[in-house]
Amino acid sequence: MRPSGREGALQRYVRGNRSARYLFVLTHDLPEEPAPYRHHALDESIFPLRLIWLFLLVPYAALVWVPFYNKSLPELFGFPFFYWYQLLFVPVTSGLIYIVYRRIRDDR
Amino acid sequence: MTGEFDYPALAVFIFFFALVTVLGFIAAHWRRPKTLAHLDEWGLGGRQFGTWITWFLIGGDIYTAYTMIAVPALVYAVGAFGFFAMPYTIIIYPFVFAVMPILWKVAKENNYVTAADVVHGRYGSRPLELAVALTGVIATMPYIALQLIGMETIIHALGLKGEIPLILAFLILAFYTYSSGLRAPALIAFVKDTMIYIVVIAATALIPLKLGGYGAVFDAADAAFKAKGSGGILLAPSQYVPYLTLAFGSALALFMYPHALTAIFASSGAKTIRRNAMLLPTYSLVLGLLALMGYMGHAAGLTLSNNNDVVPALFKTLFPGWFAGFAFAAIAIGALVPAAVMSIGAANLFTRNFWKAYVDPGVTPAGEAQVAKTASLVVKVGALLVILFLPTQFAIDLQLLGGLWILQTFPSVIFGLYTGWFRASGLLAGWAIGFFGGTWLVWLNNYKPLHTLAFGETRVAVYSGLLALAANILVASLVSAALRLRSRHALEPR
Repeated sequence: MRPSGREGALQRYVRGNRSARYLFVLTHDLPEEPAPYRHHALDESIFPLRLIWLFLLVPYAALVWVPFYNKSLPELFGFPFFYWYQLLFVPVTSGLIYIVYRRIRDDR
Repeated sequence: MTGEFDYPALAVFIFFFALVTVLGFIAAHWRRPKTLAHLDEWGLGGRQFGTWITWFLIGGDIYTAYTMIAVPALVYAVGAFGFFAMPYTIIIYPFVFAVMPILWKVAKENNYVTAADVVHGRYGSRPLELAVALTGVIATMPYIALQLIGMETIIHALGLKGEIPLILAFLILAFYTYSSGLRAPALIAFVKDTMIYIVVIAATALIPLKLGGYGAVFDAADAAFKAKGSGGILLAPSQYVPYLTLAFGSALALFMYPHALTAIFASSGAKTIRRNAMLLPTYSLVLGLLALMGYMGHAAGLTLSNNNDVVPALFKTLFPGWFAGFAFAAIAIGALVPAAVMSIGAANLFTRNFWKAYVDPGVTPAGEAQVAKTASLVVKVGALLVILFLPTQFAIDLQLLGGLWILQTFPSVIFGLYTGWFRASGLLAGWAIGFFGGTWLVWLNNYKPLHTLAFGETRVAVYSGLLALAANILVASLVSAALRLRSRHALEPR
């Protein structure tokens, strides 16, 4: 059952606004909303689109322009740039995913 | 390569092979369910694998033995271009992080076991379900066959001749998969991945020491490519687009494969998958370092009759017999894990989307498990026959096509998670265009994955799979739009 009246309107507003929610949860328990979708994409994944998700695009941006990293200098431990740059983006990608993971975990 | 026996290597190899065989059968009792006679238990390990088991399973499953042989071989043969495996296995994980938890939830809540189940649940269309299921099965078969090629390379490197050892190894695999289901590869993956990590760390630390450091390795490779007159340790400008499109297309295709999705569905939850997207890149690092063994092959001055021998030959030349045996066992066991999961994935598809859909709709969960077990045997025997009786090149060409094929299921499986806009007939039309058009493109280009597009003077080579996917999405959108328009008109009063 959806709460009606003033309390309901407040809860709906708070659910859609993150900073308001942080304040709200200090004083209220948010009731469980019945799932309106059989498929969860819209309510539980990338919507509402938080800017933090853009972090996931960084590896794509870093690797899409091949001429940028297709060079041998600067070298690192004997590795031409082409190789260490791409190898470096393995831990960097993990780190970016970790940051996003922390944020969305804290949100729920 | 020479064929003399190396007894320490052989002894170590047989020891580890025996160990995983025992583990494979014990696995039936691991985290023992009330019954294994249920497809959720046999085919998905009870959907309960936590972060670490999933990490070992997916890592052991998608970084296959063939990858460990073929990627260094490609780098050995053509240089920097073979390194596309690196961006490929990086950009895959943000995608897994964002999309796979949703797919898992849909599957868990509706008891779906396969991608085709998800598609049927979303669109209620049997033809579309069948297209997705069939694509999954025929894309997986040659992939299993390639695992056999990886294993064959290792067995020959050990000096064993003939096909008997290969047949024996595969029969053992078939039997423990039959009895333990997905629990067997999950348990074996622990051993396999630990061994692979030891091997790769030792190899990438010790081999350059013996060859004069990484600088010397890259210099030697550079000199070898210059002497040969083709390839190089940097990309030629004409290779930029092929490099990028192959990486991107392969990344989109990877998690459409039944073996990858089976491991995703078997995990215990969305959180497990998110954590794994974060942790799995460790394997990419290993793959990148392994790829460089192609260059170490040049630095060590190996002369090979077959590029695929570069990794085994390096170990045989530079390490004592017992360690070479350990490395070979790691790679051969590395073939068992994906081959098992692939056959389970294909068997699940057959059971849910063919047997249950067309032959016996009232089949019980126990009946489903029995059908799947039998199907997994048939799939593996089929792959074995392909390797024994057809030319190796045939399996390699088919696997290349398989990647293109499985990529065509992407719109049907993924788009529905986000929108209800697409129509089943549209997606089916798109799939058909992508599947047959893409196959035609590959055939036109003599079984090379690249197709050259001409824009006036500029000529650009692009991965055919991605071209086929673009046509697929375009047709799916157009047909869906037309169908939506028609149904809207039909509803209007005249």
